[in-house]
Amino acid sequence: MTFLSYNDEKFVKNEFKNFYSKFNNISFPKEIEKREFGYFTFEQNIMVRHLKMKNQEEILKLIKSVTPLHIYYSSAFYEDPSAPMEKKGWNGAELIFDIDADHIVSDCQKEHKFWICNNCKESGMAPIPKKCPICKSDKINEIDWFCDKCLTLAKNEAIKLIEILEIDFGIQSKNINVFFSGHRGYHIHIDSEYVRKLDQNARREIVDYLIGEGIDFSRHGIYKPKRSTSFIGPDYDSKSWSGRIARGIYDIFLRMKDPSFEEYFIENLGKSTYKNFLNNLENLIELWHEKPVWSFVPNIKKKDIEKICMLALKEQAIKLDTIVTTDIHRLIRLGNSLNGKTGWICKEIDINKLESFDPLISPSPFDYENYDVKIKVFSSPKFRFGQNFFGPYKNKIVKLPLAIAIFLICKGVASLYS
Amino acid sequence: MSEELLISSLLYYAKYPFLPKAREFVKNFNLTLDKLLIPPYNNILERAIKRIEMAYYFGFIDEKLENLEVEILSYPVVLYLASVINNPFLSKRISLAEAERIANFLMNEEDKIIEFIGKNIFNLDILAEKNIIGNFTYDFSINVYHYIDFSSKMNAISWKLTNRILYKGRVYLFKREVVRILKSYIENHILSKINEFKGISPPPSLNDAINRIKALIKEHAPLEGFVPIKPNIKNFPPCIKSIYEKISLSESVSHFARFTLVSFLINLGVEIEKIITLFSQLGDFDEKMTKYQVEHIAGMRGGKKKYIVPSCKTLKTHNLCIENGKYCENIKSPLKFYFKQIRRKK
Repeated sequence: MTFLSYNDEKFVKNEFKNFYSKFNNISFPKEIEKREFGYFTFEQNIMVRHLKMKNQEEILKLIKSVTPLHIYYSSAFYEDPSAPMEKKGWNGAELIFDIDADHIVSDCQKEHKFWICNNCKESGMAPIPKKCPICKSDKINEIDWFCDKCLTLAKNEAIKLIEILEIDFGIQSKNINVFFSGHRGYHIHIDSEYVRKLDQNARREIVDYLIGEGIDFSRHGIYKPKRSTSFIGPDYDSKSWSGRIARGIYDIFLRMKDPSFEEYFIENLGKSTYKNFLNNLENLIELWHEKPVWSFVPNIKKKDIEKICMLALKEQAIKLDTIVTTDIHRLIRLGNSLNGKTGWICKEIDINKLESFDPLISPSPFDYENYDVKIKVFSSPKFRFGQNFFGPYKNKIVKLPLAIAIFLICKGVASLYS
Repeated sequence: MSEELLISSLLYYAKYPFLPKAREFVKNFNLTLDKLLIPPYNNILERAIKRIEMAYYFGFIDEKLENLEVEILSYPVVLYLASVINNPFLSKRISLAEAERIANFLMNEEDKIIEFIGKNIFNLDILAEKNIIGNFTYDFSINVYHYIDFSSKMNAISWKLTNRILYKGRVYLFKREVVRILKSYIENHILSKINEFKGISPPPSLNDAINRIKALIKEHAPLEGFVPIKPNIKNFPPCIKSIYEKISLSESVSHFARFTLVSFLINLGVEIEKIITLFSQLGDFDEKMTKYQVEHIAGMRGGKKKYIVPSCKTLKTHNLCIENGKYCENIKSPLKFYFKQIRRKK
């Protein structure tokens, strides 16, 4: 966490304190007394952890008394959450998925990744230098910004993940809780009698399934039978990865028509495979319109099919943080608490409303109306809050609503100006 | 339940001696240990010793079902003798061979009976139902969490959930696959039964039988022939160390894990004889076969190609990587880890 000055830190802490003093709507986890709690303070960059809370009132009391910058609880259930790690007595854990724009390759990342020198406040776009080119300080703060594109990509991954959890794993939506992280991603929590007891290896198997790790296409019916000259493969409605690959390939064919994807396909398929498909594209799209026709056309070779299957797999795989899911002691952000990276709420979302959810509509609980907080913004791209756009700013003194000012100060790109 | 009635007969108790009703039969028979030397009960003891011998020598037990009572009653005697002798290698070998025998019976059983055993004995949520999916007809479906509990311990890529048909929380399987899963549960069940009573003192009347088995173990003494290999195990990466330790403790490891360890040791220049001695710890050790396979990996047979050690990526796929490589600082092959450690110490 990098506030640019002590005053900024004090200011944000005070606003967090005011907010928490009137706020009780925390999304409390189940079986509170079995969870470990931990938090970051504004003052020190270390986590206070191994805390045991008896009930909801105790959590609220803690939040109101310490005003945490971030607050977390364990996905695990322990005999004694306050004991040292090896003596806690692990009794199971929820299954957690973390999807963050960080893990999704997108062009926009280059456009909104920048740096700011905490010493002289010089800033610039990525690549991130080791030292400030102006003052030579090494206090370079790397800023990960966001845009509608990467936030939508993250949301789409969350939707895709939930679909697999429901259709393939048969998890009922009532057992799935979805949270917007309050920054650039989504947390998905699953709890059921079965998932609680899964060990690290079993969780790794689930992750591998979701990312398509270790796939053997022949086990999904994609192969050339002996003495045959052409391939066979699954239908669109085939279960599991079989159908997903077939549907993914058709989706690739449709996009191949668009020349703006040329570079992407050459990079992922190689020039000759791309050309082989491209030269037969009209034929392929017509053939595959109703159902996949794996016999293709004569000049599509085995390696072309393998490559396009790999690309379909890569595109259909869920882009998630695999470490989070396999960690059975993970601490996760407390639902509806404030995220100290933005001053936004880690908001619980109704799973049925995820598709229409816009994370940038009122993400912050602070005021949006009165343009009365004077700050100096050293660097910021243009960004949207609800229907309003702000920025871009470069070394600019502006009066902004509290919600926006807190956001920019928390991101470490602005300071109070008096 | 009809399946329960169906398997309530001596034939089924002889095939599946872990069934509660089989145990009840044994209990009601009131056979005491001192009776085992007296005819006709001495047949039971002889059959038990035979079962142990076969398990130890050949890694399997014949599927004789001629005298059902002898078959049923000799099974607890096998477990009792194994407990008394308390030799981990022998216990492992017996569990494996008894499980293999039971699995062979299961393969010829009706699906509903397999379902009954899976459900009622091992608490597996398993259903015998034919499902045509794609070009295949699956015989069973199993709860995904029960499936991964098993598959996450397997290294063969075919067991990976990614390569399975998973729909609405159920994994679709063929009969032989379900039997393979049950076999692993049965093996663990037998081993835990042996270990439950290990170290108990036998009555003097059984001394002869016990000494016969002990002599058999001594004669072949694979454990005592074990010579630690020269490279320092401390420098092994966690994945290799884990396989090595499991083998040293006679724990069963997959073929791929064995291949990984052998190729690793060969590439470090460990002598073939020493590798074979290491593998003699295993319950299913077959000296001739092991020698052939190790020499093959060393490039002395077949295609004369010395195999390279699988990469970290491949090991991850086969669930052999330990904690996602967090101790390995971004290396890409287990051998690199070893050499890095050596360099660091120089």
